Amino acid sequence: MNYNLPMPSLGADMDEGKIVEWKIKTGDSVKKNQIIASVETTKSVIDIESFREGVVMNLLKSVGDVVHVGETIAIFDILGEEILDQKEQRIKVSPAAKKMCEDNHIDFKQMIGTGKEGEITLQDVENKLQSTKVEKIFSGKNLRQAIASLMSRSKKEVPHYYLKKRIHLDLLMKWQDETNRNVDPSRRLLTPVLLMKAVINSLKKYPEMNGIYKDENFAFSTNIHLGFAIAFKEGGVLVPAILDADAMSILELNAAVLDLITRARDGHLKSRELSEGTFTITNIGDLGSDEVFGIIFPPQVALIGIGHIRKEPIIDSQDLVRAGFVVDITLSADHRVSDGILGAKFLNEIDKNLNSPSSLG
Amino acid sequence: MKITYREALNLSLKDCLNLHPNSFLIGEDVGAYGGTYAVSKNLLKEFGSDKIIDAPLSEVGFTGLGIGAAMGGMKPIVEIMTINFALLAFDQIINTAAIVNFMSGGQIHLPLIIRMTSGGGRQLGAQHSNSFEGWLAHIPGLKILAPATVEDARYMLIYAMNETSPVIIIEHALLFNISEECPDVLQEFNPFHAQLKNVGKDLTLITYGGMLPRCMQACAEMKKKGFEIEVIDLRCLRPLDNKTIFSSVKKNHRVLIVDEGWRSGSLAAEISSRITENCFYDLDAPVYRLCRKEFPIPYPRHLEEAIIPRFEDIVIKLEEILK
Repeated sequence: MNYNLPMPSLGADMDEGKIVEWKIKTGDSVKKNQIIASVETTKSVIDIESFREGVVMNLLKSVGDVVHVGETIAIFDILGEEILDQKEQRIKVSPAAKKMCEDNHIDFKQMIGTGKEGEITLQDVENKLQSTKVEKIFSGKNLRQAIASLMSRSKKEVPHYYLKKRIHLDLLMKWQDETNRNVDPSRRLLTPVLLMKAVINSLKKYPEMNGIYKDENFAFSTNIHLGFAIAFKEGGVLVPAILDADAMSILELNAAVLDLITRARDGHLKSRELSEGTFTITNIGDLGSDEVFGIIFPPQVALIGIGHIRKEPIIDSQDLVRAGFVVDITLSADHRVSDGILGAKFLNEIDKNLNSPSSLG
Repeated sequence: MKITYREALNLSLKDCLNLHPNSFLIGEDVGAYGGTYAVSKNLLKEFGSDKIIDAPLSEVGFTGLGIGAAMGGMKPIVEIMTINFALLAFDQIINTAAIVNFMSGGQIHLPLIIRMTSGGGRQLGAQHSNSFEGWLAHIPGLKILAPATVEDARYMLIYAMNETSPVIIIEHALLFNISEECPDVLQEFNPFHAQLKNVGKDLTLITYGGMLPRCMQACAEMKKKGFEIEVIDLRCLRPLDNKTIFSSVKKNHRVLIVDEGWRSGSLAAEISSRITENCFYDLDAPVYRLCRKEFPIPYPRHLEEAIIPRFEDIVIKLEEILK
């Protein structure tokens, strides 16, 4: 039986991938979880695994080809194995949840169940209804309008001050490489997550940056609900928050970021995630801009912008010039709540965190 | 005023014997001894040996006598010491009492009350600790009441005396000493309706008899954990009050049935079936049961406790379902 191996999606924002290397050839027997190719995405080069056992009949794409997600890249002969995902799999859904789906014109086949046996429960349908509402508010024209009014309000009401600091990342990048070596692709630490973790750690030391300005008063937040800007292909940007990010390890944060991006793009955000952020990070770096001076997301009082991580000439302690990784980190902060001195110390703290990566936690 | 379940049954018997001139109580040790559970204490002195009759150790005999007396226009109250000994009288109960009205083409009515004690938990060994009420609830022609509160112990019998077909009252061995407020006069009372003992929204917990106090305790414990459990006391095991059960299940979407009987072919199984047949599209989880483990009851206390659903078992099961 033939099985068409598709280009997998290696992240919610991936549309296409470039085949960098084939690790199998026609006639090979492939085991489950065997690495079969390396694929370059906008973020990095990732090894892809086979989810099936079989014999390679044909490689349809060559090294260097850019392939859309879902497009067939190879054909396997699968001996005696029933191909489940080409047939319709039976989805477990509680009778009450099914009825609620019908009443609300929701297709439960598009949902993921969280019940004991993976079944879709009433709670799942309620969450879906909730997120659908959120989705409606924050889509298309509505989203544009929401951004317009919020950003205008911020620029009108909030006296911003801006600081910029260039941070050397050689230590961090080295540590990340070592840490990610021999780790399953799905669990590898992403660079933006390390930057986020450094910001979270620094916020714990500088609580004046984390909270809400309301009724001419600043209120600290005891928890850090870390918002980060997610852009949409069709335009617009949302800033959902990772709730209670202060309690997360790097690995947990990594998972939470991937989860939030996926759900944001699928329209499955929870309303709390959109309303309870206490601080925002915007990362424009993956599009190549070196620095970004963001507009504070009211009622929050500060925002960190992350630029493009790149190699630049660095003058080291012996006054020698060498190439090294740097990033420009910017702070936009509310002058009603903090002053530049505090902002500068906050940026120094982030620098310190990024230059002792093994203690990021 | 607070009275015990035992006192409530005693008062209830007195009322019935006073109200109905042709009534009498018959059973083992009901007279001179005052009842194995001291329910008929002092009744012999008050009503005399025509109305309070000590029977020989012959369940089949004195149950048959009750049936005959009821056919002949009397209002007998038969006490069988425990449901374990009622096995001997099942032929009379099932093959005569339950069907005589059908077989006589409706000519013969049988206003017969049979009281018996059921349940384990008192270290009385395998042959004295059974819960066979589910078997009796299987039989058309019988009505089965299970008082789990002092109020029901006080008034169920009085209302059952107005029935013209056999009513079996299942008292529970562990309830005789419970003490509760009991109103002197009742506004509304229907022994055949189930009652909501606690209103909740997260799960419907269905139970009866000796399991009710444990379920109420579990309900209070779950409240501390943030869950609102709706507790239904069935009260009447046959006919079952479908309406109360179904409307609660349709509201709460999750169910646990706690039944002291063995699981296979239990009353809990019957209730579960009815819910699945009638409330399928309102269920958000399977209908779960917590029953007596399928062993004869062991004598040692710790083993006996491991067999009958405990408060802790109910809490664990509820947490599992609600997680």
